[in-house]
Formats: sequence, C-alpha cells, structure tokens
Amino acid sequence: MTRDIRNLFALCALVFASLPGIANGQVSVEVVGGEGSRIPIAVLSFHGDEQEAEEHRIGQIVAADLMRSSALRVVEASGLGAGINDQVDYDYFASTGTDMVVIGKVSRIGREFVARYALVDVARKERIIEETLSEPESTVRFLAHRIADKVHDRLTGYPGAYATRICYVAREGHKSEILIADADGYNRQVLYKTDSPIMSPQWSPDGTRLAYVSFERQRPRIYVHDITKGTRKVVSKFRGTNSAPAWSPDGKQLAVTLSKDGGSQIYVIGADGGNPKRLSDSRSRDTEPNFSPDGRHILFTSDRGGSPQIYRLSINGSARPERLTFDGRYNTSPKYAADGEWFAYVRMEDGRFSIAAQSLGDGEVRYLTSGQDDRSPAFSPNGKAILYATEVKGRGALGAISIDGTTRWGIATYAHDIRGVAWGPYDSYRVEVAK
Amino acid sequence: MKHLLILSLVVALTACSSLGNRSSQSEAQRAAQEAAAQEAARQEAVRQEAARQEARRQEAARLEEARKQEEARIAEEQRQEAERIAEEERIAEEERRIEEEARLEEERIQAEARRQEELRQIEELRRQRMEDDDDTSLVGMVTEEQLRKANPLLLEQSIYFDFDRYQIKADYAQVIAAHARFLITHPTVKIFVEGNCDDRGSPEYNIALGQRRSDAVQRALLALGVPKRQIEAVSYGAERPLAYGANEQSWARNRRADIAYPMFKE
Repeated sequence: MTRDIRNLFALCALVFASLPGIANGQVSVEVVGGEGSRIPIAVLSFHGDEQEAEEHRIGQIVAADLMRSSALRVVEASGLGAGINDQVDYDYFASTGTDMVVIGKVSRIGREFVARYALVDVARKERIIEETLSEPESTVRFLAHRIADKVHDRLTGYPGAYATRICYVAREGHKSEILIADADGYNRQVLYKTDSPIMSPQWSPDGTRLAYVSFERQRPRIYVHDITKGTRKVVSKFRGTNSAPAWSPDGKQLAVTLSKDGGSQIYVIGADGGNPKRLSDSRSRDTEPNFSPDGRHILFTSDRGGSPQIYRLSINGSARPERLTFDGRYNTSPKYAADGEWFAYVRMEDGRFSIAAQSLGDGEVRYLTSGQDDRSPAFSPNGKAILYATEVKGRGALGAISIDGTTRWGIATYAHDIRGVAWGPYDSYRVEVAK
Repeated sequence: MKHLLILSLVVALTACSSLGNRSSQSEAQRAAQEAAAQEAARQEAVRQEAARQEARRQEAARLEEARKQEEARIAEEQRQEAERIAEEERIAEEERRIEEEARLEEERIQAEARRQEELRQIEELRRQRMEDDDDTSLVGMVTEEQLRKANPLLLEQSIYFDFDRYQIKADYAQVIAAHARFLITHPTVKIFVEGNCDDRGSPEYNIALGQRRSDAVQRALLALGVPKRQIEAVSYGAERPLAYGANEQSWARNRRADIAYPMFKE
C-alpha cells in the first residue's frame, strides 16, 4: 500500500542545488513522474511580451505556473509566438504531440495591463477558452497567474492555485519576520518584524487574517493579525502556554493548544478570543489541531500511545479519538487536504524528518519527500500540492510537492531558518498587505 | 662716666702742671710733668684700649642684633609658611568636604533614580500581570546579588534533561529545594519555568515536549510546598535555543527547563 517516491530525491537535490543562483523568489521545478497521464500543453509568447521586462512577460509566467501542475506537461515552445487572432499551426503541434496551446496578446492601457488569451484544443481545432483579463500594473504577474488558473481549471476541473499567496516566518537568532509572497515566491513583503520568536502562522479562510504564536512575553500567546489593516490582537493568553492555532473552516473559531489545565490539550476559542471549550481530555501531549474542511473533525498529534502519532476527534465529542497513523514511531503535524480525503504529515525515520501523505479513505500512505529536516506542511487551496519548510545547505528554504509525488519545486527564500509555513486561500492575492 | 672722670683728671693735671710751670720751672716739676705725661700716655693707652674694647663690644652687640633680626625673620617666614600650609589644608579640607557632599548627593540622586526605576519596573510587571489576567500582588522582583546572598544554589537556574525525557535527575534535588525555600520565604515573587527542547522535528510538537519539562519542574516545586500561584510553567519548544549547532552537544544544551525570576534590569 505504501508507495515510496523517495528514490526521486536525487532529482529534488538538483532542483535545490540550482536555487542560490537564481533571483529572489524564483521557482525551480522538477518533474519526477506521471508523464503518461499529463496533458501536453504549449504556452506561446504573448504578443506584446517582448516589450516588457522579463519578469512581466505573461507567456513565460503562465508556462512557469503550469509546469508546477502534476496534471500537465509543458512542452518547450520558446521562440514560438502567434497573434491572438491567428490560427495556430494545428499540424505542427499535433506532430509534436501537443494537445493544448495557449496564445495571447498583452497591451498596456493607461496603468492597466490587458491580456486577451485563448486556450486552443489542437485535436478539435477549436478555442475552448477565449477571454480578456486585466490587472493594474502593480499586480501584472497575477494577470498571468489568473490565466494559468483558468487554463488549469478548464483542463483538470480545478484551478492551479497560482493566483494565491504564501506566508512563512523567517528566523535568525530570536528575530522573526512574517513574510507574505506570491505562490511562486515573487513580490515578497514583510508583514511584521520583531525581536522575538514567532511561529505557526495560519491563514484565515477569508484570506484577510493570520493567526500565529509570538514569544514577545514570557508566556507564549496567540495573536490574530489583520493583514490589510496591519493591526494585531491577542486572542489567547491563558496561564501557561498558548500554541498551535488552527482556523475553523468558517473563520469564526480557532482550535488551540493550551496548558492552562496542565499538560498540553486542545481547546476551541472564538477567533476574537473568548472562553475556551476543551476538546481533548487526556494525560498525554495533545497538540497541532487541524480542522477538517467540513468543520466536523479535528486531526491532532498525541503521544497517548507512547510515541507521537496522528489522531482524529470529532467536534461533537461523540466518540473516542481514533488513531490514524501506525507506521513508524514519530508522525506529527497533520494537515487536511481541501477535499478532506487526504492529510499530509511529518514522519521521522532514522532521525530524518520528511513529508508524507495518507488517505483517510483506504489508508494509503505516500512518502513524498526525503529531506533531512522537512516540516510544517501546508496544503495549497486546491489540495493538490504541499508546501513545507526545508533546509538547503544549512539555510531555510521552501519546498513543495504535488500530493501524487510526481512534481516538486523549490522557492528560494534566503531566510536563515523557516519557522512555519501557510498557504493562503483562493483569491488571497487580492488581499493588500498593510504597509 | 669713666671717660668723663679720666678726662677731668687729665684736665686737672694739665692745669696743675701749667700752674707749676708758671710758678716754678723746677726739676721736680719736670719730673712731675714727665710722670704726668707718662700717666697721660698710659691713661691714653688705657682709654684707647677701652675704646677698642668698646668698639668690639659694640660690633659684637651689632652682630648679635643682626643675628637676632635674622632669626626673627626666619621665624616669621616659618610662621608665614606654616600659616600658608594651614590655609591650604583648610581649603583642601573644604574642597574635600564639598566633594564628599556632592558625592553623597550624587549617590542619593542615583539611589533615588534606581528606586524610581525599580518602581517603574515593578509597575511594568504589575501592568503585564494585569494585562495577562494574573494576580497583580505577585510583583516581587529580585537581583542576582539577593539570590546569591540567600543561597548561591539559586543562581543555578537550568535543569537539563536527556533526549525525549522529562524526568528530573537526582543531582538537581538540592537546586530545586533551594528555589522552593526561596519562593516560600518570598511569597510575592512569581517565577516562570520555561521548558525548552532541541530543534529536531515538529516545532509545534516540540512546544508540547518543552511543556512536559516545565511541568515536571513545577510539580517538583509544588511537592516542596511552593504555592501554585507563584509558579507558571510555559514552553518555548525549540524557539529559544542556547546553542545552534546540529550536534549532540548543542542539542543537550537546549534540552532544559529554565527557572526565570523577575529580575531587576540595570
């Protein structure tokens, strides 16, 4: 039942080895499997791209986005271009085994970038999408990410989560920075900077808030930070330790870990604070709660069985928590995928920490990464990829892998150490970060 | 007076001889005259001798006078010097006194500033306690010196643990007991016990691990009679490491619980 994808680790190392040489925030992608089922697609240069700076060329950004999909295979098409009104050379693309072609044209109208693009089905010789999108100059890359999402959605039934944002905490010594960047690592912005450790950032379902743990006082407390307003509020400061916040799907509650009644136990509080309701009741360490997408269950880590393993409890407290992981002596940090059918987690084997995923249906386990110290998995909003903190040459880096293990990529961060990762919901790119 | 006598005798003798000359120029008279002349010469010699003696005497007196004057001058100078020194000493003494007063004043001001700063820090602690919904009577603060005087063991504030363990080793019994005694005798002092662990694995799970360590130290203190309100067990997980190396030596330093007193900051 266990599918081991770790022999592909060597390729991953290649991806990361190339990171330091590329510009800040850039992504390097490695396809490590699944070729047979991928849809071959070519993205041609958009007419008008040649007049823009490299990082604003829509065609290139769309191609780079689609390369991170485990459902597509981006066919090399550099140098090829076509006008939006031209008919593509169906015979040529058919002969190169390309099923789909994206063509487009971009122009500036005032301070807006306007793109007209089409997704062409080579076999049927027809345009299956043709539309116009626009973005202000300041968010021109999102114009491309939105096109990529639409193309992806049309071909696979779900958006690629390209027009989204990610968040991570960069740490050096005790100094912390909460950084928000585009999903591909570009446009990195500092949300908050402090001389104290910060950890466990979690993005609210509506994309406007972050919950995290800060150690600026002796007692660790949980804050909710309004990204657009730049304001922050303490929502949990109970005696002892307040840690591991997790949003409920409706954004109205937080599951948290408190030690106020002794040990580490899981409670639910309002997103603005308020009285905690206890969910777990054990003499063991229970922590890392994570809500199911339907809000009815919580996954968490507990050492009640002698070693840390992943359990599931139901919010209405109807049944005893159910143990989900049995493989190995260390399984932590569970995170539900958007469909609620899989969860990602961190497993330890031979002192190495790596990312794995398990099906809640049939219990299938996939070992996805093979790093020395991979942790803090966070699902993309489409549930198809997992972002995680890792290490490259002793420095913090972000890694990502598709849930089927066939596609992985790295994002350069130049952080000393990464303490927590979050992936914003769809449309999180619309949230303006307060200056 | 002597001079006058001799002079009148000579005058008298001369008068006699002239009387003799005028009355008779006899041998006796010449002899008498010669004797008188001799007598006069002798007397003249005596007189001169007396004058020389007188001159010598006067010279000696003059010298004596000069010596006395010189002595007096020296004595005066010495007196003046002594007076000057005394004055200088008086001034120096005065300066010392002023300096001492200034120093005392400065010390007083500093002590006052320190006291104000301590009050400010206590007030800050009280404010934090209030903000954290804590007991605001627990605002006792300590200095390192105070702890050292009470018991040098109180400066041992870290309890180290083995990998993935949270049992307190027997070696720490005396240290724990010292802290318990201090807390019992200082009922307004509240400590934080801060659990830490090494940086391997899930940061969130490590928080729970560190909590076990701080809970263990808290339990040991409670067992020795420390009131619960004076202890708060928190965990920093792997977020506040003392050592950053990826090796057993660094990890061992990070597997610890720290007993943190509210300390006055300089």
